[in-house]
Amino acid sequence: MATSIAKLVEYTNIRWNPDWCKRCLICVEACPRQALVLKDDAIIEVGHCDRTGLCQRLCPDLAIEVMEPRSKEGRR
Amino acid sequence: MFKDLLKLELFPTTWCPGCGIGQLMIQLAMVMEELGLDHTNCTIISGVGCTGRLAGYFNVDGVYTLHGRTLPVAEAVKLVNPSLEVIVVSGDGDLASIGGNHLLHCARRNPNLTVLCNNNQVYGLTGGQAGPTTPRDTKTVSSPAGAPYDPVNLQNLMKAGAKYFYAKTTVYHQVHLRSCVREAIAWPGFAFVDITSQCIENNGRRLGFNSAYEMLLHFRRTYKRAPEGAETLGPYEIGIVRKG
Repeated sequence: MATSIAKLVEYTNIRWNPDWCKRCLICVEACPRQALVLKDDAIIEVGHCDRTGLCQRLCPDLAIEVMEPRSKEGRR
Repeated sequence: MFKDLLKLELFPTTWCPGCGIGQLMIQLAMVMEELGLDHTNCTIISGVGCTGRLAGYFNVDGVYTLHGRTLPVAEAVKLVNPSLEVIVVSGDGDLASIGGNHLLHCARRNPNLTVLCNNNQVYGLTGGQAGPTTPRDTKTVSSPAGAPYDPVNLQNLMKAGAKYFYAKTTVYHQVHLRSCVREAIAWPGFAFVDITSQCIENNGRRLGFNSAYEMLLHFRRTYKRAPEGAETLGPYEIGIVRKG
């Protein structure tokens, strides 16, 4: 299955790829801050994320990553 | 960027949600990027089975061989083009069951190959039958009363020759996995990396695991580093043993 343009979902700290994600829940279960949930077929950052990066590290599908922190001007 | 080594246009990958092979693919790509391996100097040979799909996701020339025949093909590639880094990625069934004879003799001949064995202890693609590395008494689709035999001892098989390199690791222990792959590639002979990996859908759930993460936690809790300089790895020890 080819993905033409990745539809990435950006939250406060996390960027999630709904096309590559298989909802295996490794990220949700691994997060030590319980900052991720699966709701209505989407992985959502619900808060408390302090950028440990475990979700990114353990995802077998490159579907979730911790984004660069925003600068003071709000840019990445 | 290691992602440049991967055919991202084919994502999402074909593997089940939570499959360990995805993580093996990522870790291998990271090591290849560190070592400067790409389509100009490296090839990946894979067999039949879920793990066999891995070569298709890399931007390198590769061969998707007949079931069990990764090693003769890899050995031939290395003979014809010795400047290529030849990496075999295959599963426990492809390498140690149908491919077992080739494993025996290829290890004996000691060609300069790196073999990464994704060991999920079952025949995953066909539904989860007992295979050569399934632990005794494991209930699988083809062994509902428990697997009746002891598994093949891959470590002893590899150590039968005068020179050997055998590494044991898991997909949870990513740093260790990468170091095993790195050392295996650098080894001037037959290097075998035995990588314990989760098959949640066709094995793990039947064993009582509720999720892929539970299997990863099991690997974390169960597998420990072997002592420095150990000449033999215990059943739940990760490390490298080598000679020659």
